[in-house]
Amino acid sequence: MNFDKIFEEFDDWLKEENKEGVIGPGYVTLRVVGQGALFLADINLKLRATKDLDAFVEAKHAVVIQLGKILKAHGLSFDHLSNEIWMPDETKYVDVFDSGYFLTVKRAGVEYIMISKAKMAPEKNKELIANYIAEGKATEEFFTLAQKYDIDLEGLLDGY
Amino acid sequence: MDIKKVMELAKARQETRRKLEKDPAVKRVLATLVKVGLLVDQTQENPRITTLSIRDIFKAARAEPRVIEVLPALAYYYRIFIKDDKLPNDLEKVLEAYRKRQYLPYKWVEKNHIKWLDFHSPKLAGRLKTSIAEAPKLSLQIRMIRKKNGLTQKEFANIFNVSKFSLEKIEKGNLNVHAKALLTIQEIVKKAS
Repeated sequence: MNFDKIFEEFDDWLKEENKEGVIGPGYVTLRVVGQGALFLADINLKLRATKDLDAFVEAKHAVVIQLGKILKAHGLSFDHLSNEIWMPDETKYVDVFDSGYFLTVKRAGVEYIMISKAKMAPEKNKELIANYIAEGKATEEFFTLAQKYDIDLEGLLDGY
Repeated sequence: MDIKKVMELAKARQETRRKLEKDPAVKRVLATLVKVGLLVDQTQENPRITTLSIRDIFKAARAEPRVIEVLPALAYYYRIFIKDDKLPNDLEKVLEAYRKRQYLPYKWVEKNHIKWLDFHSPKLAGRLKTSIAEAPKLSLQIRMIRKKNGLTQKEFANIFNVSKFSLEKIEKGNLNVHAKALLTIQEIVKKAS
């Protein structure tokens, strides 16, 4: 997944659309979550993903449509259900792209993504979560949040 | 929560997964899903398509549960890569519903996440059926299927275990080949249609 190229193309489009100033779409912040954020985090885990990008985007409809088009040209798709994704209240985001023009991209911190996955889609993500914990990458905050959000890690990882 | 116990369970699970991923059948499934564009996998350097059995697909799903998520799309768009004559009933129901543009949940995949059927629209998929219906001869049909899957004759022959020589002859309209090769090709066309 060549995210930099995607973000650059998206930023170029925003620059073009904002030529006229105030009537343009303005600044856009993409907050990437899900598996895409893990790829962006470069965390050295065995990652596999379906070809969609989950992200929170606060922008006009036309902007979201354009993002979808750019992703499609790169063989990916934008998940329009992204806004329904639950992330813990504590989630911190890390900057991953800022062209200095119109686009800023952030990704969710790894421990928050793992909590979201463990809480909302455990069946799909249990191997990934096992990999994350077994490789010693799980932080203290991850375990604290797991308790706070009532995630039964033992039950999730037990058995095959 | 007993963190030490969680660590032990995670390590045991990872070990089982590692063993599974060394299984040639699991490797074949994952490579095929990457090659057809249904999965992204950092570890796959040169993925190749092979024909898969449902049993192997489910074995691979134990190592990578996302396999289940994309299985309906694999079965819908690339039926020819699944060896089994009959698909599991619950999967068949999902596909039947999708043909009527309805969505059903599949296993743990919620119905609004049967989206790979929508998102994954490879070049070959939509056109394949109509093209085949228009093409009266086996030679044309098989050539169309092969090309739309982006495969060379050599690759196609390897995947389906027929000789390249037989495939070349059939594609030229010469059906005077080994019976087994002819039957295999006929079966592929039947599945694709």
